[in-house]
Amino acid sequence: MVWHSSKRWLRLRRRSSVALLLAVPAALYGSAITFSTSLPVARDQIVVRFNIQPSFSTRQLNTFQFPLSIAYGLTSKLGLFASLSQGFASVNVTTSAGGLGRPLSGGAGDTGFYARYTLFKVDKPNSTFRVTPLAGAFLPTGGNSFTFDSKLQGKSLQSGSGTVDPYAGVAAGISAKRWTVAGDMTYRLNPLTRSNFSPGSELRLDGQAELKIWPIRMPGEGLPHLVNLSFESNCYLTRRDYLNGVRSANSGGKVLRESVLLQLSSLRWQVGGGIQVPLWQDLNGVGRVRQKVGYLVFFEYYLAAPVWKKHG
Amino acid sequence: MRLLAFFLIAGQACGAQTITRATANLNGVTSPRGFFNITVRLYQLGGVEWAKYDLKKSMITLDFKPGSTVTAAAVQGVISAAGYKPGAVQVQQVAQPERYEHRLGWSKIRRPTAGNAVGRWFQVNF
Repeated sequence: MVWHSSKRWLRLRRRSSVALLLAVPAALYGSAITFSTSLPVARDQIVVRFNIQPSFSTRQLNTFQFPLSIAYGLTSKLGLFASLSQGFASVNVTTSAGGLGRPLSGGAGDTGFYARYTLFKVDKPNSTFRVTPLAGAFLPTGGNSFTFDSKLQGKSLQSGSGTVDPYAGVAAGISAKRWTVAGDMTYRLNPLTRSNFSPGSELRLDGQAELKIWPIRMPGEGLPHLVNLSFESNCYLTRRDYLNGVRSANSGGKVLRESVLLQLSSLRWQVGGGIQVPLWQDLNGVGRVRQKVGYLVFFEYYLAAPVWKKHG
Repeated sequence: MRLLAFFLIAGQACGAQTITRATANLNGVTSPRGFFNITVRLYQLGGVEWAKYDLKKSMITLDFKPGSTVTAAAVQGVISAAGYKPGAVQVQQVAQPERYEHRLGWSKIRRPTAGNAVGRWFQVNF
C-alpha cells in the first residue's frame, strides 16, 4: 500500500489539480439515494437497490458510481445491510512535463457492512415510527494505489481508504399514509494506514421528507402505484486527512447537499431519479474542487428470503 | 344476519359456493412495500387463494378456496411474522365472487410448489 510516499505525495498535491479530495466523498463511498440507513426491511425480506450516480465537479472531475445496497431482515428488529460500491472517475491533472493529463480510474470501492436494530417502534393504523441504532464497518476492498504519470493520485481517484473503518450511528423515521420523514446521524472513523495516511473521518447527517403526490386522492380500496416526491439533505462534516501522520491543511470541510427525487413505487419494486446540488461547500485550504451537480437514478426490488420449508 | 343467511342459502341454491373470508386490520403498513412482506408469507396459510390490499384502510382481505377455513389467530400470526402489529381479524363466510379484479387490489397468491428451496425461492419472487 503506497498511499503517499511523503514528499512525492506532497509534490503531487502542489502540482496537480488533485488537491480536491473531500469534494465528492458521497459519490465515492455513498451507497444509496441518498442514504440507506433508514431503508425499511422486514423479517425475512431482502431489498436490493441498484444505483447510478454521475457527479460533475470543477476541474472536470467527473465520477460515475454504481453503488449496490442490499438489506436483509434477520428478525423483525434486526436488519443486516451491505453496501457495495463500484465506478470510475476522471479529472484533469497537470503532468510532470507541464501538460494536462486526464487519468481515469475505476473499480470496486470499500464495502460497508452494518447491522441495524429497532430499539423503539410505534405501529399505528395510519403511521409507524422507528428509532434504529446501527453499527458496522467498511472493509478495504477498494483500491488505494492508483498512479498516473508515475505519481500516486489523490483520494478522488482512489476508491478505498486502505483500512477497516468502524461505522456507527442512529436512524429514525416516521411514516404516514401521505408523508414520510426520516433522518440519520452516522460517523465513519478512518484510522491511519500503516503508511500513516487517513482520508479523514466523517460525521454525516441526513434528512428526508417525502410526500406521496399521486394519486391525489387515495382510492377507497386497492393498492395503487404511488408517485412520491422526496427532498433529501446530506450534510458531511469531514476531518482533515492525515499525510505522513500529520494533518493536511488542504483537506476536510463541511458540505451540504440537497436532492430532489421522484419515485414510483409498487408492491414489489420502486424506481426513481433526481438531481443533487450542493448548497454549501466550506472546504479547508485553497484550490479545492467543488461539486457542481449530481444525478441519481435507482431501481429497488423486494425479495422474500429462501423458502426452506415446503408448505402444502 | 338473517338477510345474510338468506343470501348465502339463496346463493348456494343457485349454485354459488360460499368461501371463508378473513379481513385483517394492520398497524404500521403505510406503503406498498409494507404489504409485500405479508404477501410473501400468505402461502403459509393453507387454502388461501386471493388477497386484497387496501392501503387507505390499512387492511388486508384473504379469500380461501371452498372448503378451507382459517382462524383469526393464524392470520395474526402471519402478520406478526412479517414484523407488523396485527389489528382485529374478522373471519366470515361469504359467497364466492365471480371474479377478482386487480384494479381493486386483488392479487393471486403465489404458492411455491417446487421440490427444492431454490425452486421455491424463484416461484415466490419472480
